[in-house]
Amino acid sequence: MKFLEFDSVARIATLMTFTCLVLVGCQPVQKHADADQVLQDIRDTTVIPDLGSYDEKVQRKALDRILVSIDKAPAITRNLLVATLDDSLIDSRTKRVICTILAKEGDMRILPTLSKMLAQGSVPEDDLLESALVQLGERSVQPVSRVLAEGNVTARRNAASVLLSLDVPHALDSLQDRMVIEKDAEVRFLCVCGLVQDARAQSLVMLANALDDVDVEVRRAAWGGLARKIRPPQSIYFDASAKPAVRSVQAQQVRQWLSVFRSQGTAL
Amino acid sequence: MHDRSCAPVVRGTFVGDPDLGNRYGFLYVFPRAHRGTLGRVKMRGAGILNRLRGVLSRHLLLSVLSIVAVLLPVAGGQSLQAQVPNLTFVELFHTEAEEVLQFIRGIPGLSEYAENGSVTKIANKKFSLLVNADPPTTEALIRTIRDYENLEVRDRLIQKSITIRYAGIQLVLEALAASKVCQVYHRTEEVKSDATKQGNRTITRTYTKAIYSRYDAASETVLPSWNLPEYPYILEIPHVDPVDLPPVNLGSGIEETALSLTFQESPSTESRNRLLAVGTEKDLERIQGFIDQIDIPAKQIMIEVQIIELEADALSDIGIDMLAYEKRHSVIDFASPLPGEEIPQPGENFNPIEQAGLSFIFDDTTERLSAQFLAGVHALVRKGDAIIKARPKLYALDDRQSQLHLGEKIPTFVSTDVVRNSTGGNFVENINKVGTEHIGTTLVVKPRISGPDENEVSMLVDITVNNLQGRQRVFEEDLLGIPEVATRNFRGQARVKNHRPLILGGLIKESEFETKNKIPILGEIPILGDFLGRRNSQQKRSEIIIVLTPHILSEDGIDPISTPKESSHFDTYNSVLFNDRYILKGRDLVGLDPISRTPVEGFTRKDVVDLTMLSIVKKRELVSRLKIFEDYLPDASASLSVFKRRHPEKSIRTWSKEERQVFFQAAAILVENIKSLNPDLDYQDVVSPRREIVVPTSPYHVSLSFDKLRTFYEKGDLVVLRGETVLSEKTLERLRVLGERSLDEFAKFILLQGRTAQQHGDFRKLIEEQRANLFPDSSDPSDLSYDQLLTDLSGRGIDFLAIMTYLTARLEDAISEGEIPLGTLEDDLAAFELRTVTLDELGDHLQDLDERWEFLNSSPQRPVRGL
Repeated sequence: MKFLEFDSVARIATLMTFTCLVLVGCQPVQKHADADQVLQDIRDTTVIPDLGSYDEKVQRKALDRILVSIDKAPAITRNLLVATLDDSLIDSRTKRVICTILAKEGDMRILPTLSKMLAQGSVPEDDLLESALVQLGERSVQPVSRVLAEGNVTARRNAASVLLSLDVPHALDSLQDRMVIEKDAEVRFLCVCGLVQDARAQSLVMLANALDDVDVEVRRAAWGGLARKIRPPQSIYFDASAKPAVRSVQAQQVRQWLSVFRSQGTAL
Repeated sequence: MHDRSCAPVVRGTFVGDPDLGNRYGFLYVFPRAHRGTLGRVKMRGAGILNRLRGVLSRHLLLSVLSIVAVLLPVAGGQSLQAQVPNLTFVELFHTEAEEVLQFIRGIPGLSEYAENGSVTKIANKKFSLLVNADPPTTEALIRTIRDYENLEVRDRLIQKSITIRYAGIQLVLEALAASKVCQVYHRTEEVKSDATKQGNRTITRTYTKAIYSRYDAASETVLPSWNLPEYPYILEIPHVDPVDLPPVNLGSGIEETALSLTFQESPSTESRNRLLAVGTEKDLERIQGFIDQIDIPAKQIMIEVQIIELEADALSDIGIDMLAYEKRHSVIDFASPLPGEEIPQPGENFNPIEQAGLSFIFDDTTERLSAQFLAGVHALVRKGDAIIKARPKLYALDDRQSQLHLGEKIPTFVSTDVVRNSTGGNFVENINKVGTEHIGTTLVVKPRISGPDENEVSMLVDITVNNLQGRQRVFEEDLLGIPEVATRNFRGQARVKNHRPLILGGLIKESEFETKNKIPILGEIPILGDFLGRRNSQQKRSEIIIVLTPHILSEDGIDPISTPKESSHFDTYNSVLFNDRYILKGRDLVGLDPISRTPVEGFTRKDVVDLTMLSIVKKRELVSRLKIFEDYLPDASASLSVFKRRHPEKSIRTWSKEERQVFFQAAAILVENIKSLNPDLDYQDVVSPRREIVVPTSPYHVSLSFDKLRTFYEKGDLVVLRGETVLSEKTLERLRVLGERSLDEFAKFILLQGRTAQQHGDFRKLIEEQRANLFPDSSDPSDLSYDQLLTDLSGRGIDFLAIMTYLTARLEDAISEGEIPLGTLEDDLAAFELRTVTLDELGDHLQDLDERWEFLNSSPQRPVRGL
């Protein structure tokens, strides 16, 4: 019974409590996921988040430092920038800036992010995105073409604009393919611009077909481009804003003349 | 004779024979008679002078004599006063003159004034009377007339509250009173005090009462206010400020000791700045019309300030050599003398403000140079040799002062000796406290819109630059030391055209750095440590340039220049991410044969530069990125479809010829802008490998250039350095270049420039001779002015080419010997050539080049492939 004296019980209880506390206190703190930790470190210790600052001075300063870092330690800096693209706490503007920097460096790891942002289509006339994709050159044709095929209206417009700027045969092919099934007039307008840009003879036929487009601006662009490429005689004329019946006749005349023109093999 | 030469005191409005004006003019003429009088006084006083010589000084006596001499003619003038009629014109506000005269004739006692001509009508003036009587009678008559006027008016009186929107109430009230538009009452305080004695004490009480007083003209002015009728009148609607705000000291904010607000009474919510006008409807219309003229808002001016610090020698490194400009321009060497340097002496180009430490580097007459200079500074900023320390924008109202402080306040030790009286004698107590000293730049600008077209801004500029040199301990208690502050102050005035920069420079700062490298621990050992370390001292010489660019803001809508345009274009990679440098690559070169590296046949070197610039504009899509259509060609581009405006560079090949004109005009703005940003860019630069050029990255840069362009068109005030020349091959070349341009336009140009035939040497003689030879039957040209002669020649089909041909044929020998002086003609022709280039022409030129190049490359015989 001596063991059950109050003092002893209290002493044992105190000892046990203390032991528990020591044991709990010595447990290692559960670490966050490594990736999150790294991203947080980047956010906290680098100027990368400032790249998207709306304060020009801050942004310029951050950019200068990043460019110096790329010069001194290219691999590390690029890795940091690429890693930041996965940070959900970094805004899309900063990511666009990062992509442009990495595009200049020719880092292809940004391509998925770029095409993802392009597909989101949240910014009309997205210059930053466009310049980054154009910077990557032909390698970006495929993902951009996919966006042109699957994206929303804004995304398709931006994609068409990028493909037009890329000015490579594959990009122009994508535009030609899209031309037939595209519903948005602006995208079709850009496709027509691509046809005008295309030096291949097949583009002439497609341009002539575009004279039947439902949108007057597309028709006008098609005729403007055609007239500029083949310089038809004055007797061949197309009025893009004329009535459908008149337009149909005029377009037919243009096509006939074009077939003659092509059969003669006149150089373009 | 005596009276005629004196100035009389004329009361009332002076009317009468115009000759009176000559006889009794206000020009005081010291009469000969008085000079005689003065002489006599002097002579008579000679004896007295001798007696008083010991008592009064000579100066005192002369003073007395002068006073006598002055008083004599005044006395003479008073004797004349009675002879001048007291004429007063009375303008009737509400009753016709005839009606008033009838009333006067019908009142006994008053009728005599109508009958004897004291009150008469004025021919052809229905609402005016002439009163010819002595001043008291005139005043009494006018009061009676005004009372009569009021009889009719009372029933027609209306009250109207007029809100003053922009002007100060006091200003409006004073203007109304001074212009005699109506009676004006304003609120004043009448303070009365009385004193009563109570035993040995005097109790003084003060009463303050708010009363309305009539604005009265100052005494001795021509028209006293009793001349106005009781109605209409206007009075200031009073208001009480419910809150006393703490006083604010300009430049230092709210006084720290007075941060509490004092509420006088419950807050009032009435509308402020109101006047109450009382009168007939016609009166109120007149008052409102008058107020509308005064109550207009002041224009706003935005001043862009750039404070740039750069290496003192960096400017010359990039080719801005101030001395090079001095030869033909009054540009001053802007470096201010440093201690020990020679102080510039006043000379031909000396500007006294130079001594103040800052001076104008360029003013408005050096437009091209300032563009070059800014481009140079721009380049330095990119290189890192210059830092733009601040780029604030100040807003100021026209003719109001605006102040800018940039810098910091540093603590300083303030010790005050206080002397107090005490019963034991005097003792001194020191009070120490911490004060502050402003270090940095303080800019005070007072801009004022001026110029015939309100296109210039006159600026009163006061710039103070304080630099902390060090600290010096003066008082024992002061551990930190009193700051030694080097102050440079510039104060001056300048007038610049709208949107043009005024560049101030000359503040050179020398800093010395000392670095010490030493071995740890060992380096700390006295004496030995000095041998184990190394000291480096480095001197840095930097200069501060201040660029002030005023922009008069338009009243209609948002002024594009005042809005932060950069924000709308922030996402363009050109303006933010990578700097505005562009390295010309081989594929950028257009119009050049890639093998021979010479311009393709049909294209000049200048065309190659233009085509290359155009290709950069297209490639970088500057027209769409910098929103040129929206900002500069909104009307012309309205005809373009939305798609075309959105994607101009991508779709240009589908545009019609007319639409393409708009595009090339936009491109021309940018090409000109690139040229102004790269002033030394020429063919050789373009074809040299990896030539770096500056391209516009923001609409701000474009706007500068565009304003310059616009000024060319509107004003033709491009400055070309002018000098005396003789007829030479160069002159003939100038004439050839101008070719078929109209002489009529040149006539207008020289008229605008204020040129005379004499300034163009023998040129007039030569063209007169040509006219006589070609048109022997024409009239004598000597009656025609120089510009008329040119217009006449233009009408006869003569152009510059014809003149050139004639001169070449007739004066072959004289040309080679340089015998025929032509004054500034050559330079004026050069200025005319530049001035007459319009945006249309620039655009057409680019379009022509582009189409020719495209045709060449799309034709079967294309000479150059792949460019």
